[in-house]
Amino acid sequence: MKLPRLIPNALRSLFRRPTTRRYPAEVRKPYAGSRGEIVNDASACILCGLCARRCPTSCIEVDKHLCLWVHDPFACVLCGWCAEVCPTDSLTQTEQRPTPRTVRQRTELHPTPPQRPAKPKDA
Amino acid sequence: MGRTVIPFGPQHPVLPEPIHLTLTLEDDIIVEALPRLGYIHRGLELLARKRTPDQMVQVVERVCGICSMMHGMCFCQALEDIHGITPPPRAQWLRVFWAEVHRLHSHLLWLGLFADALGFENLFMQFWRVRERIMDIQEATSGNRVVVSVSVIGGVRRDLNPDQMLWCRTELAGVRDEVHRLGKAMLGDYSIAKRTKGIGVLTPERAHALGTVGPTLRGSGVAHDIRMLDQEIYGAMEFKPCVENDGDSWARLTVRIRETEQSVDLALGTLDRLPQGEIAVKPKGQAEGEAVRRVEQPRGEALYFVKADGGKLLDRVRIRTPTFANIPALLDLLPGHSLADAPVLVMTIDPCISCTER
Ligand code: SF4
Ligand code: SF4
Repeated sequence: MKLPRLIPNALRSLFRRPTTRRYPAEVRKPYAGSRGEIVNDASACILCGLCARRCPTSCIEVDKHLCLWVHDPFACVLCGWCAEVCPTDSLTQTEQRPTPRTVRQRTELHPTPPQRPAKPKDA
Repeated sequence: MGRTVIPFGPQHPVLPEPIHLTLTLEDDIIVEALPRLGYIHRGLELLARKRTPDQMVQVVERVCGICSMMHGMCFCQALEDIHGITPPPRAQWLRVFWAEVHRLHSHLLWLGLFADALGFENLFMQFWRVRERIMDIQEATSGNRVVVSVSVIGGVRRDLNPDQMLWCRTELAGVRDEVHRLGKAMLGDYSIAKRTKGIGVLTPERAHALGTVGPTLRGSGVAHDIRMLDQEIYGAMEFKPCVENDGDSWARLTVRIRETEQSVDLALGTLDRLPQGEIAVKPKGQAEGEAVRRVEQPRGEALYFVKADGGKLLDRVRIRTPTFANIPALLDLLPGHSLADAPVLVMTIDPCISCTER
């Protein structure tokens, strides 16, 4: 009974494009606003530590004295809060998903802490 | 007659999650089922003593992957009660939109897994293909495919622009057509009917006495849904819970298929009625007080108890998840059925073990 309905379906499926993508070879463009990798621009970071305090997984460490900003991408859940609270917008969340890696490595940056504002010349 | 004891799980092909049942059999019939839980206990409730309330939102969202939106939403609502603030209307409607999309994605996942438990591989793939569209909606609107993470205390983090709303509408309409077609295929299948009709009957009285929640309870003919209490949003959309009266596996399956279609309508309804305005208000000061909140998750009613003592951290967060409430019903269902029915019966309560063990 179902056979007559089955045959056209099977034929259609035979010539249809596959639903899936050949993933590592073919990657879909991420949607705008997708939550991807966390990137810090060391030249703009002032080592204020707000990102480390907001991070729910404690995967950011900031040490003002050692001028060290460390991010553990393997503990990061890509929630994007650190980028939202960063006052200088040096920390941003890209749209690209992190790529698989074979070694577990933390991102260590050495931003320069802000200098005291120089005295105005005419004073 | 001699008895045989068979361990079911914690690693079992039908369930990706670790639940262990010790099944005592007489011949081929189960006479007793005893659960053992705690394989993936993570101690998330205790983290409340180490993380600020803001950070806890991200933590409770990870109690469960497939109902993360509702966990975060319920926790935020509890804290809003403590703070005494009300999120703006647009934020409330947006939360409902994401919650319904989330329910869709969870139900489609379950429908696929259920088809898989019955050995219907093709239908499994089809449901998951549709689910992919829902996850695309989630990614396009919230940024993440599964853990949408849009709730904050006082509102939501993301807004929808008109383009996105238009695109969501067409996608959701497409999903409704496909779910309707697949649901018809599932309910019209001879073997599925044979394996589910009249199996695992839970009477309304028994379901009520065991404290069952969610589609398991509604499959037994009890119209109980926390969404009915929300007059402002669900009331405006004339929400009626889906109820089936048979109480067997078939009824629970039908309830979920109907709820999937209903969720599409509700999500579309929120898009139609979305008010304009702000999407978040800022809570002021430290929280002090207690609050209890309930929310209807895809698996049933979840309960949050939050206690804050005015300090930086919360005092206590207690989460009662729906699967926890449904396990007694499962243990009641299993005796009297053959061992071959056990995987299907376990699937019909839609167990989410990582929820249960938090
Ligand atoms: S990344 Fe931003 S928030 Fe983090 S320490 Fe640097 S400036 Fe502060
Ligand atoms: S995205 Fe979230 S988890 Fe990752 S570093 Fe930022 S705050 Fe932490």
